Amino acid sequence: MIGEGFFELLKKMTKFQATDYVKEELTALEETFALLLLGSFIGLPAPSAGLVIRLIPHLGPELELLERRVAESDDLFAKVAGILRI
Amino acid sequence: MNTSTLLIIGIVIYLVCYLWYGKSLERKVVGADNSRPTPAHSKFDDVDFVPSHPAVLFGHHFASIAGGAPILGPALAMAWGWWAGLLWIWFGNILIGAVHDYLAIMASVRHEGKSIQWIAGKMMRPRTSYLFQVFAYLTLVLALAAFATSLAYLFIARPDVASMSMWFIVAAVITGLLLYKLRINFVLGSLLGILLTLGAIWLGFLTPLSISYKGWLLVFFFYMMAASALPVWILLQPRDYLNSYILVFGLVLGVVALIFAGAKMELAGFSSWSPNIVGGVPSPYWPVVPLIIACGSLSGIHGLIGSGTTSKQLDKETQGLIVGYGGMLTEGLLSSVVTVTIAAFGLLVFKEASGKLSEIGVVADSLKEPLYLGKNYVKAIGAVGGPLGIFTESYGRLFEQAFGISAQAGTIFSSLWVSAFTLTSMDTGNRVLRFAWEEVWDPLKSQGGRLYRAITNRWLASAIPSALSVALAWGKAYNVLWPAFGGANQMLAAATLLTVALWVLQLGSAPKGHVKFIIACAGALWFTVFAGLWWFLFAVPSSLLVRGFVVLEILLALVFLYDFYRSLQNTSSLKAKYPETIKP
Amino acid sequence: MGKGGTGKTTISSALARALSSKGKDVLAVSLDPAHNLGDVLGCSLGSEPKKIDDHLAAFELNLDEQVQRFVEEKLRQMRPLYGNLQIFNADKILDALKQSPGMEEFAILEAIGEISAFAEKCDAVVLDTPPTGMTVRVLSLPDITLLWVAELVKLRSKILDRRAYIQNIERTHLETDPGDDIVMAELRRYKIEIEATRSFLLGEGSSIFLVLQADKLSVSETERTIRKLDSNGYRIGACFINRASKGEGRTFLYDSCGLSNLMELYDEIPWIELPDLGSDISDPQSLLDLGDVICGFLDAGDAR
Repeated sequence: MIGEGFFELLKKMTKFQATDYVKEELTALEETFALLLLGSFIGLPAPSAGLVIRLIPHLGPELELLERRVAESDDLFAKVAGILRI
Repeated sequence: MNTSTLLIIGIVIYLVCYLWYGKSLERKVVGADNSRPTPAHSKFDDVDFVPSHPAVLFGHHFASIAGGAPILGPALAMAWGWWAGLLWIWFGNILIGAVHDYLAIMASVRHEGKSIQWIAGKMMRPRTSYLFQVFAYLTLVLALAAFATSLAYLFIARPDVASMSMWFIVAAVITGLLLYKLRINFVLGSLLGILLTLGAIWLGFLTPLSISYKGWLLVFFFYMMAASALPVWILLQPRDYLNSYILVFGLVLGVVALIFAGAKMELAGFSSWSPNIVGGVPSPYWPVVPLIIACGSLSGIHGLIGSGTTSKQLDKETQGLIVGYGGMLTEGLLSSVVTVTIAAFGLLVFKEASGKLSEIGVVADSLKEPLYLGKNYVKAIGAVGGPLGIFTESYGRLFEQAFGISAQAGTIFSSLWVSAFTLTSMDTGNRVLRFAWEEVWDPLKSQGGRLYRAITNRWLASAIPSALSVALAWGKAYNVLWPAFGGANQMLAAATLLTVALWVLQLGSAPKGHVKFIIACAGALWFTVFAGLWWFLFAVPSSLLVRGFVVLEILLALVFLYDFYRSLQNTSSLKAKYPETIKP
Repeated sequence: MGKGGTGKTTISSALARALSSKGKDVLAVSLDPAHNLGDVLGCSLGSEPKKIDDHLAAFELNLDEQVQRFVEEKLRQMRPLYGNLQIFNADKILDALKQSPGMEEFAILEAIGEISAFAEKCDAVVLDTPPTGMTVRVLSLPDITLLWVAELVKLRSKILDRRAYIQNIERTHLETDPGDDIVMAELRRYKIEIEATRSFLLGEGSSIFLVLQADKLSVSETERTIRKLDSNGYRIGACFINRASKGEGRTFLYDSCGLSNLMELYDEIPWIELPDLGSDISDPQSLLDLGDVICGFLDAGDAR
């Protein structure tokens, strides 16, 4: 019983260590994608208004992402400092 | 006094103080309450804010803060003798270092996961937040410079280690390809990664790499630029992943070996009050020891990391203690291992290298004498690979005595440990510096459009920090750069501690005695580091560039203290402004 | 296509009339917001194709309605999927999107796309375009869009790769399997449609006709247009010099407004001179005659 839980925990820890940077990079890429598409709403040259219209139904997560980014925009360094290994 | 007793004493002291002081901080000062949702829950977004299992969070936080720094610092501090070092490693950590880490995380947790820098801006003035940024920048540039120098020294003394480190990069890349591109089974991939690492070690033996000091600096420069431009799956992620295995094994095996070996302490417990450390000049224990041991006992960067990501992943408030306080104490354990290892086996290393030592005018046998040790320790380690070298060589001989295997094995393993973490620090450090570079020049934005744009050009933003670090390292003086880094780092910690002191004050619920003690420690730290910086400026021969950095640090420290003082005066009005920080 | 007032609508209508009288099924479309097509053809047109006689149907594109239609439909699709999100009030989005730069050009492009699907059924489609500026933008849109879509596809696949890596390690099952990422599918679908529209516009069977008059402004604009279209790979079928002079003043006039130079420069393009019909233009027979003249020059059947 205890052994099982221990191995589960070990697995969780190693998986965490193996994916943390990729997760952060993924978020950065998703935000970029969201910005590229939805930037037209804030005045960035739109790639093609047409593209945006067609993709909008599927961009709920991207909207959320940008919303979140705006909410945390006053504390960017926090996110950045987290990748340090000193 | 032998290694077993010493280590056990250290562990016991840490445990007792964790349970006594740590718990009292948790209960009385922070008032950790599991019914209060942490930001991981209240702001849950499954990306940044997601509750983690405490063990997972501890592991991650610890792996982030325990890099090459807790090895470099204590290795240099050996010049004072091992008792001197351990005193600061134990009590400095318990009373200040771990408290700093813990309170930084908890303050962040209570402020919706905002960074300590953001909190400072709110508690004091917006420009205080900017100060943090600049301090962080200075600290990182100096850290990279000090790491570059030390690593170059190690590589020159051991060309096989240099080669092995390069091969390890290859191993990490292959692991990354296996896991990312080929998407093989995770367990299989991990095992292969470890095997590849062993392969790298073996190849290192076969193909030693000899490059000049300046050559290595250039290699590091290009490495920093290139590595930080790559997608993370190629190098940073697999390498960091493999590193965590190396760290665990290194620490656990070190502790076990020391307790098993029961070796005698060969080097002196106390050498002298002012041995020649920084820039080769007599360095007084106070105020210089924090600047040397730095991350081994206390580190401002931990506050950035802790309040940056760790606080956003804390599941329950009571788990903060083990992650923050416990994490730092574990790093203290690592520093203890380093100190004790060198104290017990360093002399052996010196004796075996007596030929090289006599070339630089040091008599190996005399290093047994406390005063002689103080005068010549830092000089002596230059011949065996610098601070990183003396540790890895001692570690090897520790393994030999404890486990009966060849000293080469232990040395090679610890060399991989040290270089892997150092190179990762360079990679991540450069990435952070790229970002911070633009933030630092923010005030220019409103005034000089063209100048601002020129300075913050993307390529420059990456090249300049690396170039600065390498320029600093050009002079080969890790015994100057490291203390300069230590000064910045400790001052950052003092700033953080003063900030959380303000927060604790505003909480109103903490017992006066505790609060006063924390403020006293913070103030004492600030004063110590400040004194250390002044001493550095006048007593230590160093390049203009380094002095420039130190002057900047002094100025910023003064401005910071002023901001803190003003905020302290306004605490009552602040209490009214931010009622949400006052918990019932 | 050509500057406003040069006679595009007249020429388009004439061409349409003539082709249809020869028995070809023709669809005439006005993309020009000025909407004179109906006036010239002699009957009022709506936004749906209306049969004018046996072989001729026509309609006028309502730009605003087109934009509105697409925006509304996408928003309607969005609500049930993401109703739990804090999304802007639909009205606000509508306004923002309508103002979005490039929205009108997009609407025209989409309309052309729809028409191209329609074009299977006809023998010829005649498009009366908006003033040159907008038309040129619309015509460059396919290439720009394809470039942009390519970039987005690249970025999206980087994102999907990383998600797959994390999934592979964590062995979790997300709601959306990265394998069939909807956004990626939509991007690819859009790419195919744009490519279809592009081949419709640039293909073998299509030609662009420029209409100009012998005055400086018209000539210089035509020159710019030719250069721009050339760089986008469009073929210019012919340039119609409307209300062309005859006789003595002609050479002098053409030299002074730069038209002679232009004709020399681009001598591979047929330069067709059309007479001024004056007020007879609304007369169906005159229109037909003009159209026959045009067809005569063009070898009817090539034009689409």
